[in-house]
Amino acid sequence: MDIAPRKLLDAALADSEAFARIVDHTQGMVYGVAFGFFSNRAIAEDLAQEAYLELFRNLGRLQSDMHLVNWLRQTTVRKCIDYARRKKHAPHASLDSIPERSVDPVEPDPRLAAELGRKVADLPTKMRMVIVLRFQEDLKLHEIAEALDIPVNTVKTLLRRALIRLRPKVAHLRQEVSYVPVGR
Amino acid sequence: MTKTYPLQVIVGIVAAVLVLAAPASLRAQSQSDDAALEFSDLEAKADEVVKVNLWGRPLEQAKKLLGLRKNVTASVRSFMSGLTAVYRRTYRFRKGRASEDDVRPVHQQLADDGWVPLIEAADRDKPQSLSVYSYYDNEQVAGMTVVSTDSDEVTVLKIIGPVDFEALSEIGSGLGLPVMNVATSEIRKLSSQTAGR
Amino acid sequence: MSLWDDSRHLEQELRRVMARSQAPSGLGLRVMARIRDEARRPAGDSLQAASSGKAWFRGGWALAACACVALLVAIFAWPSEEEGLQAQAADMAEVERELVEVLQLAGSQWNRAQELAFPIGQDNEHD
Repeated sequence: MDIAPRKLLDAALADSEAFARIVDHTQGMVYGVAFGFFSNRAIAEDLAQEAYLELFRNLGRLQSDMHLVNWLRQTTVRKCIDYARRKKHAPHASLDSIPERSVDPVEPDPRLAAELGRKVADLPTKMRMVIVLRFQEDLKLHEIAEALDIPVNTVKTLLRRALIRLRPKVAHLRQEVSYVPVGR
Repeated sequence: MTKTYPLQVIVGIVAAVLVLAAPASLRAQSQSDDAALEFSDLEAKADEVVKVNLWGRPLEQAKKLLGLRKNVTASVRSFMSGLTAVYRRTYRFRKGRASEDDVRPVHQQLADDGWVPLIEAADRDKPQSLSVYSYYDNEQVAGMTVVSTDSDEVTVLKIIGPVDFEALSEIGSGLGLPVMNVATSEIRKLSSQTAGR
Repeated sequence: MSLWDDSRHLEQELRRVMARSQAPSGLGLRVMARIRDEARRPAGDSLQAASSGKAWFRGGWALAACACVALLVAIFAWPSEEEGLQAQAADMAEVERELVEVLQLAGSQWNRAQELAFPIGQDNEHD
């Protein structure tokens, strides 16, 4: 969003329509992060609402409009991790929710998508969030570090470990996939 | 709610003290694994059972002895130094073989204990399957278990401690450790299968 | 060749599978309804205060549960002196041989599992 410092924030303080515009512009990211993390629509929507409630409470404290997206992302990430820890939510992705994630014109193998989604859902909390932010939100390492409030080196370590945990399983799946008859 | 805060502060302090006072939690877990590695159905059906439980002082001394030997590479030495327990269960069958129902409790127990499947592979030509599980503690690989099912035997190997897979691969290739004439039937079988490919 | 070399392919797969899901329709409206509801609340009746109190309450009991589990583990699983003495009496050469045997067997099976999971035909892809 290319806006002058606090213009949008001040407008949102004065007018609910301006706040609604912020929601409209950012809900894809906020909901996307929460859904990517939990693979559960109800939880993702609830956490998105919580994040916006917190934004509403902190509108006067944010430094500038430039900080808005990062602040919202950081808040969403924190809420996801807090929720996962508090509820000990086991995010076993339901099979029907996984294919919905794909909007890629080159459709991935549905078995691979479902299996990989399940494996990502089984990762420990922070590793899973690093995967969501890196591969879904396409963030740079320093942006992930900022969102999670951890050092960049820790992000690198978490990312490396997550990939190590996912790799053999995915490779195994690819092997299975290679047995599908060519004429399929 | 305010009345509950002091209790929780005390409980929190007790928990912190216990956490600080119990750095050997993994060791404790490894010993509980000792008991968890009993598979009565397999044992009842098997003609021969091999059980190895290594932890605590015997393991430390064995590691020390091995560390003194020549031909132990640095990576293997480092891998061994982190081990806190090693277990083996082998069930051999002279007639017949273990059914899937017999082996299922092994996988179920590993899953229940929080072991995560890393590789599940089956030989398409032979009745052999291998499942490798890993165990995570504080987001680090803190152990691995291999379950191999063959035509005439089932083996469960559990290694507790940080696992260096490169070093393990080195050991599996006959490198990194001194030759100790320990070629078991399983190793010979695996070697011949590998050579045959 | 290492099992862990083929990171590029996995990252591509992850990017495809992890495509961002669209927000459900009406989310913005529901958010705004909740915000308006929040704006009408008295200042002292803050949701945040209530939820943070609950979180602290739950956190306290989670700590209590951890403490109990840690205590039980410490009591029942700590090695006894007798076990230590038994260990000292064991034939160390035999123990060493068993350790080598289990490690070699585990290493062989690890290599075999990789061979089965990554057949030779796929080597080029990983190299």
